[in-house]
Amino acid sequence: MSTVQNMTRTRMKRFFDNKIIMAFILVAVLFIMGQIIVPGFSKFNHIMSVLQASFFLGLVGLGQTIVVISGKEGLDMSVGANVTLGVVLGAAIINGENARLLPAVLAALGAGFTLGLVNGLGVSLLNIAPLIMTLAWGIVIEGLLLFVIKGHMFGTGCPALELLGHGSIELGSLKIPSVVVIWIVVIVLMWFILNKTKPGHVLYAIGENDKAAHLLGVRVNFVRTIVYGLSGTLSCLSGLLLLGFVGSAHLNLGARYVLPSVVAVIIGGIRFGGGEGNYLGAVAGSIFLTTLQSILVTLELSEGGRQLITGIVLIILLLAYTRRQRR
Amino acid sequence: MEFFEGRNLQKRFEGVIALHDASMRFEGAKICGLVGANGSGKTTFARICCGLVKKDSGTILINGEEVSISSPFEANEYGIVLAHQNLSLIPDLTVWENIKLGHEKAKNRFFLDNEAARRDAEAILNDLVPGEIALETVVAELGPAHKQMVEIAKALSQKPKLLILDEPTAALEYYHVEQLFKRILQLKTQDVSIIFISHRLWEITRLCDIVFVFRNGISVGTVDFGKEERDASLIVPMITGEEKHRTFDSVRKPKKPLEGADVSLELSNVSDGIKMKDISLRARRGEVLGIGGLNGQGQEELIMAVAGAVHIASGSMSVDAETVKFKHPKDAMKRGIYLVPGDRIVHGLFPTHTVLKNLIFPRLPLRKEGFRLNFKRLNSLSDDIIGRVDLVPPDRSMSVIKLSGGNQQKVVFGRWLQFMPTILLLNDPAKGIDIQAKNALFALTHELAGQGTTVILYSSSNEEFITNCDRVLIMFEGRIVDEFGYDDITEDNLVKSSLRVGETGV
Amino acid sequence: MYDKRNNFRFGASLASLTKWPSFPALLILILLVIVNASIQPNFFTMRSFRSNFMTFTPLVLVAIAQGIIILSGSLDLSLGSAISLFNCFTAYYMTDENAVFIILLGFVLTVIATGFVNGICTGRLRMPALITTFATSAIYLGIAMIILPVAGGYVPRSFYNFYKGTALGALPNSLSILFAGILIWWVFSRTRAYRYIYAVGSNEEGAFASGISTWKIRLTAHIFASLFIFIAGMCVLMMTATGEYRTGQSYTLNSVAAVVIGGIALTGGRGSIVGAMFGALILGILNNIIFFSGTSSYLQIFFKGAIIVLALCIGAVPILLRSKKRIIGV
Repeated sequence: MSTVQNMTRTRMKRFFDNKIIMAFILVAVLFIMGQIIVPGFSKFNHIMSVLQASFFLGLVGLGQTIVVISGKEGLDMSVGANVTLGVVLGAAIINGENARLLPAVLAALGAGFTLGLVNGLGVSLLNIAPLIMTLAWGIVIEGLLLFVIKGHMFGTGCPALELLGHGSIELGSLKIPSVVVIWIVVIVLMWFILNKTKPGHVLYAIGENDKAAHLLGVRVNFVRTIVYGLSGTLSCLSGLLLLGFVGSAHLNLGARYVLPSVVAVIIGGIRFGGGEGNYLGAVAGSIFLTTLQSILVTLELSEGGRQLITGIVLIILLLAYTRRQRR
Repeated sequence: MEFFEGRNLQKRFEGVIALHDASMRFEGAKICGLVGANGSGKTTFARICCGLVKKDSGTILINGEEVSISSPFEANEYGIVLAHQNLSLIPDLTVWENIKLGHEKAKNRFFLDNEAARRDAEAILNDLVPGEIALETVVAELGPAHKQMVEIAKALSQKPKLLILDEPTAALEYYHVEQLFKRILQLKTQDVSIIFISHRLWEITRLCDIVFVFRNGISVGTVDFGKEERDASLIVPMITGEEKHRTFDSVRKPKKPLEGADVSLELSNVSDGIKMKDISLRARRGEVLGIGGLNGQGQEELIMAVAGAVHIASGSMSVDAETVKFKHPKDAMKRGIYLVPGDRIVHGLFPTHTVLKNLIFPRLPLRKEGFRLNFKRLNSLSDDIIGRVDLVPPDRSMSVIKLSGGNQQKVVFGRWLQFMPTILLLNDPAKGIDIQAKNALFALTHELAGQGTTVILYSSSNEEFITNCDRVLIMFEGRIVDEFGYDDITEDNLVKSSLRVGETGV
Repeated sequence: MYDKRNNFRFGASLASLTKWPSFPALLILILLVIVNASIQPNFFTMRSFRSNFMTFTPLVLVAIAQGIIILSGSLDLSLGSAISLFNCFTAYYMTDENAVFIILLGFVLTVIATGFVNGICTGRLRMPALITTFATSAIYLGIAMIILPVAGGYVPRSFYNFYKGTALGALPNSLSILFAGILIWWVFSRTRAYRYIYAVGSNEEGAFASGISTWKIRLTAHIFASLFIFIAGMCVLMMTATGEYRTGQSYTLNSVAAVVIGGIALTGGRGSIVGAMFGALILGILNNIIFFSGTSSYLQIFFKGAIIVLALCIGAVPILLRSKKRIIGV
């Protein structure tokens, strides 16, 4: 075998090893399949609407991404409850008035962050496994919400929010949903923050080896706690925007984001143990899962079926990516 | 065991070659010593024989037949048992449950015969340490010496044909050692072969029939005490690789006049409540101070305390004549105290991250960089360091896990070259790395010392103390028990002081 | 705190009793029973005793299952969904004639799901336990939802009558089932595998070095647990007499909380299943207390979640105290 052939082989291998590229290829495959099943699936407008729907999972997935990167098998299972919180808080505060949008945003950010901090404290200080801690705390948040709401949703969104969550921007003859624009900004911002800034580096460091990071002067517990707070903020914000997208809301809105946000992160090649990974991967994962859901709904698969498929996807990913090594 | 042979064994871990070409053979019930310096591969050899680790290549023959040992269970079937250094005990089970673990006898189909197990365990223990350990004690509550004895008892309980003892005496009291030796000699009469791995040459010469020497993963020689004198000096040259007269790999650094220099680090009656007791010392600017003694006497804790990673329970510490109280390594780093940790992968590196990231990282908590990182500057900075340490290959975007041990250590060490260290703490920096890297590291150390950095060095090798230090302190059981000035730093003095000669019968 | 049975006679035996890891749980249980008795007017009647154990039994059984898995150093978040799966499967397919056969099929299903799938994935394939069982939980729940998207199915009347009935006049059948389960556990606890479970949970490397096949032990733990999931599933089936995919959900986290309250370390290898049983009873009594205290049903859900979080936090403390890694402060 000549060296040229060898080089091409290694380059090809590296290409396929790159999980992000794999994820996007999967998305493309899915769109092709979608086009076959439902003609018109891959038309520009429909792609845009799929991207629009994927945004909310993508925002939750951003929180999940930074939590996973932060290490210790980090995960945030309370994202569902926080999304619901965002919806409820938004509706209650805004109640139809545009002027109340800003206070609602601030409230969502604050509440989400504070609740997320509890997760962070449990994980950092008490060393409770993140999955369990966030799962349990998510239930507490849900219970509190249920109690406050007493079963009835009150309040609604406002036109400004609807414009944000549901509206589009005209670019020539193309209509691009506002959330897609927001998403692109977020993606670029995150790429910058994670790769080119101090906080980004520190985040990857504590995920990769928190003992070394500690010895090199990083306050690991503090950083981790903040990260979980941020995840709470992001899912709460996602819930607020979701209110604009959907218009009105019901209480179970958030729960359907938990499992997919985890799967999206792993599809995207973000390392489960922490220290490595790119938000772009989670973006691909979110689009993949949302598209998959949409296809499955078109195929008239029940909610149980969709959950089953998502679970199977996760198991396959776990099998491929997360097996612990024996000496 | 009639006839045991391990031939041309090779084993490689993640970039480090533990065994290159190791062979050993012996016949009949013999006590075989296995000696070698750190990193010689003797523990890896033992772990291959007992199935904990799979060999990459080579053969193992028992009674002339080739065997494949791929798990401890299979090794036990062949009668090969390893008495670990406190690896295989289950902390939450009792002494007798541990001794019988893995080979319990059943009363009938499902239930265990616990009474017989207790009696068995008692008998074995009484042979080794009569009347000292209660059967029902949970192992987690035992001290290290007793844990080691239970570990040995567990190995004996499996009625081995080949018993491998890996550094069994390191944790033991003197009289335990005597008991153990008696038992070993007894085993020999019962047709059991023994492989005895130890650092302590006086034990080897006393006990063994034949000694195998490993160095850097290769079996380099044998000494048969049936044919030759029981003399440690026959073994030592093979361990170090020199001829009769020991010459060092490097030239000793010249004596430095330090009397006028300022005291940069002072500890007064420092203790951490666990390992360090009442430590007082002074180090001057530009001094290279060694902290010696046997492993585990508190040297690491001392270094970590100065680094801000271990909590000081009582006593005080001052840097440049200012009293300090470190609550976090960041506090120490802010004062210019930098640490090169003992375990580079676990404590020093971000394994899958690039050389660049690993090198420039300390700048972040030290606030030498803003929110946005200036990669142009960082790239040239790391290239600078790469050049100074002579990193091979000089590629800043390479994953550090792919580097050899020596080069990895260059990264861990090199990251401090971009600052002016007040105090540089070296926790066994040259452990397991090649000569070239070691020399490079120490050359840089002396450069820094020449510029006024105080260097505190802990090493598991006396040679490094002799070559590099202005002064050496010896620690024993958490206290500083001896001090040697430049003229007195000799192998003899260091060894004798570490071993507290007079108590161990060297 | 006064022990009901007034054990202050032998100071020494009392001292050794306090060292028993399940002891705090026992104390808390006794305390809570007293509280419950004081706010629930008819606590000491036969009727209340019977109905209490109808709800307690499944939770205690699941706690035993989770306890064994946690002792082996793992954790299973799919136990609740497995119960939902069993519940929906049996209720959907069952008729008066094929009841026994369907139950047998359900048994096999449970053993495969909780036993083999989870056991092989976490043991042999060495996948991380938490997230893997989270994934299998979604799968089992999904299947349950497919079988019975809405509550329904058929359970013979005799089942329900049996479960709420009594034998020998005073012994509730649900309690007898519990005793049977405890007996099975007791027999298992005398076997070699049981001790190996502790070994693997306490020091997996050391267990391997001692010649124990760690993945086989993990698999054994899961299969044994699946047996208890089956029994618990049967109890739930008999208790609710209908198939509903939501029935199993609360058992997962509650079983973890019960195990933690009972003094079993989440890291594995330490504690006693007896503690897990106490923990489950504690949760059952706590539910009663919350219910009878008259708080709104919405707040009840909050409290149940808060209890789990509290249990986790308290359970984390002894582990924290134990691991004194002084060299590195992380």
